[in-house]
Amino acid sequence: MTMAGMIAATATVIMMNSCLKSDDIYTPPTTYEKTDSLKVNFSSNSSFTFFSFKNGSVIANSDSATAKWDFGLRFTTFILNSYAYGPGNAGAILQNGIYSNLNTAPSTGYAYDTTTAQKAIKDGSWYDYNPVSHAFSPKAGKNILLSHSR
Amino acid sequence: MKASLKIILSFSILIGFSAITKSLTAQNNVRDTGFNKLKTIEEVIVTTTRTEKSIGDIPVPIQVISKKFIQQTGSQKLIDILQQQTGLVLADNPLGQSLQGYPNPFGSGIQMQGLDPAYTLILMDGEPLTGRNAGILNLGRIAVGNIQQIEIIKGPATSLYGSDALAGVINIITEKPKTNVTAIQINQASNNTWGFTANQSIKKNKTAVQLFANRYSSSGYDLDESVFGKTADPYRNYSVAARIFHDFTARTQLQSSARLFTQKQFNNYLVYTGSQPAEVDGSSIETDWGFNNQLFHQFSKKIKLISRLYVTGYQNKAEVFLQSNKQLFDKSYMQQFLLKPELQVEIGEKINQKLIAGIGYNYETIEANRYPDKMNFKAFYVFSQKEWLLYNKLNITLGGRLDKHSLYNLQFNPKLALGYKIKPNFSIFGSIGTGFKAPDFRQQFLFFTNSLVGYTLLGANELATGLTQLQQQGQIDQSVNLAPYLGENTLSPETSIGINIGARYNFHNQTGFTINLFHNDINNLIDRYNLPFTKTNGQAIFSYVNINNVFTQGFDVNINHTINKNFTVNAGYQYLDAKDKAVIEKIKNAELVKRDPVTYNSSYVTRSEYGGLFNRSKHTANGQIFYTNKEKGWGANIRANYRGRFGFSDINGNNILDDDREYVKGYTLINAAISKTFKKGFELQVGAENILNHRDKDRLPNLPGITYLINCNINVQQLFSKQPKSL
Repeated sequence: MTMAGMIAATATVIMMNSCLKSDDIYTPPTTYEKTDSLKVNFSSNSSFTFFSFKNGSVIANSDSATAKWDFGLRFTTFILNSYAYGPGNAGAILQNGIYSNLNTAPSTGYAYDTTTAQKAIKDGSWYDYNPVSHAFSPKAGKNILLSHSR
Repeated sequence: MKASLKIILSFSILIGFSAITKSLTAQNNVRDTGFNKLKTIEEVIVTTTRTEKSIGDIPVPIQVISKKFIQQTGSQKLIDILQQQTGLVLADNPLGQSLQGYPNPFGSGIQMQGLDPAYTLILMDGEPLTGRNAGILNLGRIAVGNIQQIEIIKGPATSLYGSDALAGVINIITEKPKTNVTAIQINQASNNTWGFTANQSIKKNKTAVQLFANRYSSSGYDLDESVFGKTADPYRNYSVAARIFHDFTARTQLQSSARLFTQKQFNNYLVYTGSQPAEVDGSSIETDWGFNNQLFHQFSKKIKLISRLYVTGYQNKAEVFLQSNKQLFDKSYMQQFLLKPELQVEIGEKINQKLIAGIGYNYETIEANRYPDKMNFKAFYVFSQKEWLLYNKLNITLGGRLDKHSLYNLQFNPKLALGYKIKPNFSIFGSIGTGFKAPDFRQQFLFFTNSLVGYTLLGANELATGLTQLQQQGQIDQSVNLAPYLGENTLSPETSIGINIGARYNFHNQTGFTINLFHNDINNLIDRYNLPFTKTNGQAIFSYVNINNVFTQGFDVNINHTINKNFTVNAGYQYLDAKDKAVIEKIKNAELVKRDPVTYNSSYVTRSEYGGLFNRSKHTANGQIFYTNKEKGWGANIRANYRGRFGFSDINGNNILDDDREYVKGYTLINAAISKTFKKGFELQVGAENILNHRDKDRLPNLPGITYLINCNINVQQLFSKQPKSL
């Protein structure tokens, strides 16, 4: 089995609209009405997909060492553009609650990817895994609040 | 064998993150109903007291399936016969689920009082069957052609039988040798299913022998042509059994039995490892054998000693090969062995005043490809039960059992049962008892890394070794502090308390009525959890912990009525409520959120939305009409089974049952059979099962559509004996 074949067969689209909300702690709050879908690699050995809220788009992998992106996603792993993963200052809060009730991002309380083993959004914290059906499904009521990288 | 296929199928499910939930590893309550033998005063059962006893005197809910009932259904499958009883529901293993037209890889079993199949102990002639796949015993291993009766005890029976008997016990009693009889049955059914059964009984002086042989084969069936391979694969199996009874003296008797079952299933499916699917084929071979020796000695009128020696083994081996190059693609095996000597003494003369006491030892080994080594366990147990009969009306039974297993703490499980005969035809009874279930091998010893995705599952006992090894190999970052996990990580047994209260009423020996209320509290349920750090590949590590508490409660009722010498009718109903206590608490604290799979709006779950544990029907019912005309040799019956809607899988991201779209709709199965005795010793029977042709390829793949059967039953002695000519 070639890994390339597997990746191609399993590239997946993740609906992010219900679990992501962005806000910026350095500029006045901006309202984002837009919801986006991202295509990310379904393998823990392939490259991350990087996203920028300011641009509202995916950032090329060649820019991975810059502060242009806010978060990256690969399979079920979230990384932030801070410390271990980038020169930026992106932070995140994994907030329990109802999405529609979350209207203002807090100004403090953000966690950062201080080391590769100490990530702001821990793997396994936002989804359930069924080892029999091998399905990963996002938990309801887990909201990820992100701050910009710059 | 289909596991690898399922991995792939599930990837496609993953795309778009349609939320698939695990059903809770939990229990429900099932009720048992009185069933079709309420005037059973003559009926003798052994399971409740480990000694023969008439059913009317037993203060716990009990159902008996007679040989006659089994024959009337014409069915060759034990699971079909069991699920026609009130409160016994065919349920998938909660670990898995059916995916895209393939059955649950962990199989299905019998749910009792709402508890999963793993919580019912299955005995054959009083001894446990081994070889459970993730808690489920393949009931297809048990041929029905030599079953004398099946005794179903509801409520915890751990005080007599030890681990696993939380929901109750199903004891399959095989035929005792009778005077010379040769019986042959030929069965043919849909899907190219053939069954050949022969029974031979020989009795000479003080020795009696019962021999049994069965061959059964089926071509399987396919509910979904668009999915490669069959829904149920073809298989062929053989069973042989022998029982020998020998009276050494009037006081000493030997009962020995041996059984062997072997089945080969033929597998053929697609695997998706490269860019193109590849076809694999191969087989799974299952073997089960057992020797059961019992020596009875009556020392005096008051003292009887029974010594038992039981040895059993189970093996499961599967291999599939790539069709393109005949290379081995995947193989798995599991092998289990149990040696169980036991000594039991019965003291007392009168049946309702006896004291029984016993002592026994279990030596068990298990070997499997996902466990690191061949393992062995030792367990030691003592049990005792005493009955009193006061004022000829009040029966008190008090019992208890101690189990000391090499892997977990000493377990003590008591049970108290009271029965009161208000009138000869009206009695009430109640019982309270505790039960336990030892952690299964998977939860303790699994050491498995998924090669495609990269996550790791570690059994509790393997946690320290496994984590250390992963860190040494660089799969866990050096900065992760493993110290909190390096101590002893042992799982405790799951424990329960069960209460049953019921009544039996018999009107004019014509109408029987039973009711039973039940409540089971199960604590310390074992569930999987995520370790709070990941592997260097970003993937999670899972292990097992005692965490959940659930309850199951409800009631069941049974009515049977003899209309006249030709017609009898039975009806049964069970109401069930089974919930997870932590979920109720979370709902109360507004901590449980659901996310609509269509609109993606999230909101809090309310108490009324919570439907309880998955895979449980609130309402189940059954009804049967039997017609017999002995003079003319005709028999006929029609049997209906209703299973109300039940939770199948989560779709809204919270792993609980709280949305109408998470249910499978209720359905009814109707079966019928007609038989005619043409000549003494020669009977033909035709039947149809699932007459309404109910099918659901995705969620009920275990249910084929309508099937037909024809049985030819021959009693050789009767057929060829010279019969007196009627004048």
